[in-house]
Amino acid sequence: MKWFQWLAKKGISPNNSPAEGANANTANVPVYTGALPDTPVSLHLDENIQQLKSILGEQVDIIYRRIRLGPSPNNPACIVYIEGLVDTPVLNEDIIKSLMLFTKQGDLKAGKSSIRDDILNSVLTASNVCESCNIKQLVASVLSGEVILLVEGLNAAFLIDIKAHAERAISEPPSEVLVRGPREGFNETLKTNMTMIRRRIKHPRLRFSTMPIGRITATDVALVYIEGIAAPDLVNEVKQRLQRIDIDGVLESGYLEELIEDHPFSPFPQMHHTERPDRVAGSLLEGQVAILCDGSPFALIMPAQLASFINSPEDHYERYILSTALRHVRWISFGISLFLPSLYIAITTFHQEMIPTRLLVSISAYRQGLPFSTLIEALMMEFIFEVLREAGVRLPRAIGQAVSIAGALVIGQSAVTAGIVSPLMVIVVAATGIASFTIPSYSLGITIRLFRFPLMLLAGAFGLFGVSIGFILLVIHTVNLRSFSVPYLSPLAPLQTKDLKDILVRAPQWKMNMRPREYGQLNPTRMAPGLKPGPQQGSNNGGRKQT
Amino acid sequence: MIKQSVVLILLLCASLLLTGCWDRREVEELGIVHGIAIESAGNNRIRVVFQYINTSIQGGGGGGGSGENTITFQKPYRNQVIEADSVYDAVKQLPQETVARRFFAHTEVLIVSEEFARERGITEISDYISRDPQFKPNIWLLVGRGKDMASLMDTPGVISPIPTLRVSNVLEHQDVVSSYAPLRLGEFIRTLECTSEQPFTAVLEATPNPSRPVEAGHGILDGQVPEPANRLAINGTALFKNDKMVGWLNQQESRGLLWLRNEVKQGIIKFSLPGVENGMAATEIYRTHTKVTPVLENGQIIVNVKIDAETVVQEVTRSFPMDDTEDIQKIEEAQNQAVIREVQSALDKAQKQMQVDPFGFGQAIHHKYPELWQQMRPDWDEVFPEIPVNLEVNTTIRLTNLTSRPIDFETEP
Repeated sequence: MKWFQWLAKKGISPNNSPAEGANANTANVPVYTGALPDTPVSLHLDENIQQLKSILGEQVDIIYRRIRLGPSPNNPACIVYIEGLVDTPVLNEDIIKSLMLFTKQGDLKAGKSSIRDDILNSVLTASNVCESCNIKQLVASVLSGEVILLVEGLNAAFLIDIKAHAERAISEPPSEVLVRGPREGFNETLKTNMTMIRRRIKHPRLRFSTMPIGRITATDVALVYIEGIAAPDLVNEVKQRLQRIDIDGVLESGYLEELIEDHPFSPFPQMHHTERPDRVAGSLLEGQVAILCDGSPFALIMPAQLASFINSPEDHYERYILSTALRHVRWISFGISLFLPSLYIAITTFHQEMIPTRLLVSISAYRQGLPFSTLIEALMMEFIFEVLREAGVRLPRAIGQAVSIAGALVIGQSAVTAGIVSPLMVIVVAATGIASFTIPSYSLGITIRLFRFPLMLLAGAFGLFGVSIGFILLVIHTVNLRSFSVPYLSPLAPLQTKDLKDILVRAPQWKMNMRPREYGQLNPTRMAPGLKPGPQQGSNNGGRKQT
Repeated sequence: MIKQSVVLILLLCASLLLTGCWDRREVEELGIVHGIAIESAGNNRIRVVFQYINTSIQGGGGGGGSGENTITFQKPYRNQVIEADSVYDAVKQLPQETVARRFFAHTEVLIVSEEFARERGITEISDYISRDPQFKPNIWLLVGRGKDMASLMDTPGVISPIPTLRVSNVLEHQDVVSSYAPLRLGEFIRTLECTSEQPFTAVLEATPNPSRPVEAGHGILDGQVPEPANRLAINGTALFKNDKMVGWLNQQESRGLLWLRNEVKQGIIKFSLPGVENGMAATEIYRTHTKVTPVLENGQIIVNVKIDAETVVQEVTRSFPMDDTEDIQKIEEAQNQAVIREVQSALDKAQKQMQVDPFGFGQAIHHKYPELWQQMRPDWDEVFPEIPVNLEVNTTIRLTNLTSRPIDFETEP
C-alpha cells in the first residue's frame, strides 16, 4: 500500500488544481458561461439596442441597421444580424426593402398596436418569422444566424430565419467508401444532414428532436428516430443522457459519444459513427436511434453491437451470396488481425511440434543468426507498421506515398537483407495489417490494433496458453458490455438465432422479414410475407407475348 | 482506487516480461532430429545415430547475414553418434556435445539394425520413445540391413538430400507400389501387444547407386555435386515374433502379406501372357478387397481368403488382342494365378517356414469364434502352421487404356 500512497502523493489531487487561479483573474469581466439575464424586451428601441450591445459587444461582424418604417420619422426600427450568417440578398430585397417601401404607400394604420400584426402578416416577405419578447432569446437567435427586427414602441422583436452560410459541398464520404451504394455523405451543417435523412425516409413519424448542447458553443444536436419503430425507452434514455451533458462546447459528435456511452473505460466502441445518410436511414428503420451534431459530418448510431461493426452498408446493396462471402472474409480477417502475430509467436517459440516439419525447417533457416527473439521482432515490426500507418494518415497525400514506399522498402526488403527480421515475420505483419483494413469500422479497427500488443506479450510469455487467456479475458470483457441496455455480443451471446441471418451470413432481402429482436421489438415486422421472387410473379409474363 | 488498480495492472503487465524463458525456445536454437538409428555396440551397450536437419543451409535462407559468395560444402543434415547404455542415456548425453537443444517432435524415422532387432528386440528401445511426450507415435519404424547404421544414415538422396527425410517421403507413398509393409511405431506396439497378430515392418538397405557413372564423372572439382556411392532402398518386409525379428519377405512376398491384410492399394501385377512366348503383361491395381473368413469344419479351422481386384492393363510386350471378352478372360485368369503366386509365397515363408502370423488370422478367428480362440490361444503357435488356407482370387480387367489391339505384323487386318 505504501506504493500507492507514494504515487498518490506525487499525483496532482483535484483540490489544488490551477483552475482556481484562472477563475480569480477573470472574475471582474462578465462572462456569460451560464444563463443570460432573463430581461424582457423594452418598449424603447434604444434601450433594446443598448441591451444587445452590452451583451454582444461592439463587433465588426454584428450589424445594427437602423431604418424607418415608412416616411414617418416616428417609426424607427433596427435590424440586427451577423454578417456572413444570413442571406444578404434576401435580407435586402425581402426584409429591408419591403419594410421601407410598403409603409411608404401609406397602408400603415394609425395606432401602434396594429403595427405588429401588419409587419408580421403583410410586410415581412420571409417564410420563417416568429416573435420573442426576451432579450436572452434574441441574443441566441442573432448568434445562430437569424435576423432580428426591433421596432420602436413594440415590446417584442421579430426573429427572421434567413440563415445562409458557406458550407462544404456534399461529397463522397472519404472514410466509408463503397463500390455500390449512394455516393453522398453528410457535411458539417445540421440542417443539410437532416434533409438528407428526411429525403430518404418520407414518413410522418420521422422525428428530429433538437437541443442545444454546450454552455458556450450552444451546438445544435438532433436526436433522430422513427416514432413507432424505435422503442420509447431507448429514445428517452438517449434524450436523458444528452440532457445530462453540461459542457462548455461540443465540437464533434465524438464529444457526445464519450459523454453518453455506457462503459467509459472499455476500449470497444459502443456506438457507430458514420458519414453515410443511407446507413443512418437503415439503422433508423431497424429501430435504432441516431444523433446528429452540428459541425460534424459524423452521425452517431446506437445501440451498437460488436457484430454490426463487421458489417458494411454495402452488404445490403450487393447480392446476398456475394455479401455473405465477403462477410465471412471480414470475420476471418478480423481473427487474423487480432490473433495472427500472437499465434505466430506462440507457435514458433513454444509449440514447434505443431508446425509441419518442412515449414519448421524453413522458419528455422530464415531465423538463423537473427539478433532478436521472435517476440521482440514481432513487437518491433508491429510498432513500425503502426508508425507508418499513422504517418500515412497524417501526411498530405503526395508525401504519404513517399512514406509508404520508404516504409515498404525499409520494412519489407532492407530489414530482411540486413538480417534484422525474418521474412516470415514480414509476411505475418503485412498480412495482419492488410487484414485489419477489411474491418469497415475505423473505431473497431483501432481497438483491434490496440489489443494485438497485449496478446503478443501474453503469447511471448505463456505461448498458446497465454493467447487463450487473452482471448478469454476479451470475451469476458465484451460479454459484460452493454450499449444502451443491449448486450454487446448479441445476437451471438445471448443467442438470438433469428437475428444471426444478418450477422454471420446476409440472408436475402425477402428472408429478412423481421427487425432485430434487441431493439426492433416495438414493430417487429419489416415486410409482407412471401416476397421470394421467382419466374412466375403475378400476371406479368416477363414482357413476352401471351400465347 | 482507480489509480491503484491501474498501477496494479501495469505491474502485472511488466511481470509478463519477466517470466521469459520457461518452456520457451526459439526455433533457430532447436536441433531438429529427423531420424534415429540404433544398433548394438557390444557389452550390452547401444550406438545411437541422431540425424538432425542442418537448418542453417536449408530453404535458401538468404537472410542471416552469412556470406553469400563463399562456397560452403555443408551438408543439409548432420549425424551425431553416441554410445550409451540406453536410448535415454544417449539422449541425455547429447547436450554434452552441442549447445542446440535436441527436438524430437519432428522425428519421423526410427531405424533399428537387423542384428539388434534379431538379438535384442524392439521393446528395449521403444519404451523410452513411447514414454517421452516429445516423440509422436507415428514415427516410421524400419529395420536397417547392413553392418553400420552410421553409413546407412549418411547415404544422401539426390533430389532430397536428407536421408531420413527422403525415406519418410518414400514411405508416404507406399500405397503406390504396395511392395513392402511398413508400420508406424504406435501401430507396431499395438500389434505387439496382441497375441493374435505378429508385427512386421519394412526393411531399409543401402544398395550401390546405379546412377553413379562407372568411369569418373563430374565431381567437386567441376563444381558439381558427385553422385553418391550408395542409395537407400526400401526392400521387403521384416517379420517379427513378439519383438524379435525372425526373417524377411522379399517384394513379391511382401505383396502377398499386403493382399492377405487387405492393404493393397495400387501397384503393378506382372505375369506371362497366356500362350505367347516371352510375352509379359503388366497391369495396374485399381481397386481391391480381401475378405479373410475362418470357418470351423469338423473341429478343424480353415481360413478362406477371397481376393477381389480390379486392374487396368498398362503394358503387354508381345501382341495380344484384347477386344474380345474371351481374350480378356484369358488375361484375367493369368492374372489370378499371379496373385495366387504372390499370396502363396508369403504363406509359405511366414506360415510354414518362420511360423509367425503377420496376417492376422488369429485376429480373424478371435473375432468370429471368441470362445474357440480362448481354447486355441495357449497352443496357437503349434496350431497356426498347420491351418489350411483356401485361396479364391477373382480379378477383373476394367480397362485396356487407349489400346485394345496392339501392333501386329503377322495377321492381316
